[in-house]
Amino acid sequence: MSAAPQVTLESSDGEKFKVDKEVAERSVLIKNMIEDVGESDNPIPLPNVNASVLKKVLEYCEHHRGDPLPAADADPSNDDNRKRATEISDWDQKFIQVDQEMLFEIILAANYMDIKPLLDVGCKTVANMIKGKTPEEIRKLFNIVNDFTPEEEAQIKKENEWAEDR
Amino acid sequence: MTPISNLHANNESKAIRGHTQQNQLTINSLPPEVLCDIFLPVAGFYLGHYTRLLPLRVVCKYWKEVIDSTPGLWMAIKLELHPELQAMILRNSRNHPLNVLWDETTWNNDPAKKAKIAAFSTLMEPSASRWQSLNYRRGLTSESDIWILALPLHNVQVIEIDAPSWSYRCHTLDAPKLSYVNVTRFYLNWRSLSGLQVLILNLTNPTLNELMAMLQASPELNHLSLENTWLQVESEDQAPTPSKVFLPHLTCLRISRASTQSICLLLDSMETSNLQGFAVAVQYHVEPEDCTPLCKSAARYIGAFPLPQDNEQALVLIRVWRREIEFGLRRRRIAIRNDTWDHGNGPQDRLAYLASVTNYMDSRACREVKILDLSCREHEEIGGYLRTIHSRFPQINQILLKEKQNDIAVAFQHLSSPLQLELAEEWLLPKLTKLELDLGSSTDARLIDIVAQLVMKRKAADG
Repeated sequence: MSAAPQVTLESSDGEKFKVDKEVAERSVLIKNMIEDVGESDNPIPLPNVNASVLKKVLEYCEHHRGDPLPAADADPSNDDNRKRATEISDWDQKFIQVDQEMLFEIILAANYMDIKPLLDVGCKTVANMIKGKTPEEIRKLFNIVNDFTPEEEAQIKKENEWAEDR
Repeated sequence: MTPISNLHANNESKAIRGHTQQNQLTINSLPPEVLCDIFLPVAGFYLGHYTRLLPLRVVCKYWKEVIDSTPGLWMAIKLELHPELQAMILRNSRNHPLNVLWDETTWNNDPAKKAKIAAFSTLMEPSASRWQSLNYRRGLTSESDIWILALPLHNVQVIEIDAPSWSYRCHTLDAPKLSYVNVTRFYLNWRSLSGLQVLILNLTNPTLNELMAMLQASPELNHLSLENTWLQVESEDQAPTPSKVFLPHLTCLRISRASTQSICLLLDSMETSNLQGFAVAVQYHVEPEDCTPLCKSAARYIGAFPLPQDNEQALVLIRVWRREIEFGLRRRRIAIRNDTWDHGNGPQDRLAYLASVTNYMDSRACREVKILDLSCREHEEIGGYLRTIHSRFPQINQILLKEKQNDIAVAFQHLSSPLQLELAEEWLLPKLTKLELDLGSSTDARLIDIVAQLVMKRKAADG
């Protein structure tokens, strides 16, 4: 039996990862690159993803290697509903239990490499961290500086009162 | 051919913001489109609630800018929202589609609220061509429907209308993209509707010919549900008999509480090839109709062959109460309720109806059935049902019994002795090998004896 075709990915810090083509092609970016240039022994460069993040991303792709890929021409309203939902599978929840910086690195890598399901998992995880928190608690959680003037902040808070159903 | 090592330059638009900087990556290093993907689930699945979204605008300028400039976060607008928020939604949604929730039901006869409805109408009118869905619940004395449904709803795909009482206004819609209609107690110009995929009518009454015209004009229809919808049959000199309509995409058909005649005409006029769910339910309180023709018409759908290719078990179901019988093959069912069965005609009617349905089912579908799910409160009828099932479903090898233990005992008596035919004897359901009993909390030891006897007798008969 012939071995599964493999490709080599090269992280921004020069580390090389040899993986099954099927696993690498969970990334639409890589899939398109391979389709554009054909089979090649040259490593595929990923200049925006460092080795520790790429390792984590490949762990996700390996686990989900057999999953159906999201349709490219999917109904936009379904896509929207999928994004609004907040459920995350048990394995994905454990996988994404990382520190904040790694979480954002994974999200950025998933966005760059065009791995929609992984991007969803990352975004939903951050969304779940935000839910139920006040703006002040959110700032504290993510170390965000409040750059509004007191007048601006008061005006926006006033606008929030509009959200209450009448 | 482009060397693969040069290709990364083609994806610069997705270059990671802040990634090249030496400082620590934070949530605000994420690009706006990703931040928006985070805000969507925070805002919640239910459209029209902005109580979770607006507080996020207070966090920092970047978040406010992302939220205010993302139309996808401002897709729903409701009558009861604050006017300033309504204006903000219309502004921030730009030219994107809108889902309009217009619920007047708690607003009856209040002058201040009438003024609010008028103001909302004025605000919404210029955006009518952006509406993609309209959920309208008319107030008891409201006449807003006249104005709303006269708008050019050129991009509306979904319309849900619920009225608390009848009005005899008949609206013609200018909604060429409409594909989903769910209407309760409301008249539309039914003949003006076409291209539908879902049609749900409740307590409204297009004539049968108007319904057929809608179906003829909607070959992509996949869901049809008619509840309390009488479907008046026009006399032949007023309108021709409906011609056949082929609905290859129809997967779900539900009809309840319509006249038997109109249901039969409708069922006989339709051809489907992909039906998975089918439910017809009729009920009579004082003047029952003969349901034999209905059973015959429904049988074509219940017993359609081939069965849908899914993981569902090939199971026939019989449920019998004193005033009701329900029969089905998987998710395709008919239920007849007749309150006059209290006066004695129930047993023979029910048996006759079951025989009518099973006789007109495709025998190839019948041969695929392996399981009988029987629940019958009328003991004296159990034998009749078992004989009917025996005659039409030769491959049944399993029975599920979910009724009281007395019913189970009666069923087992019938299964424990062969039928005496003219020249031979024949066991009911000869392939039976599995029994599944739901005894609830019963601990009656006699049942164990009855089961044991059944097993012994049938084993002995098998030699």
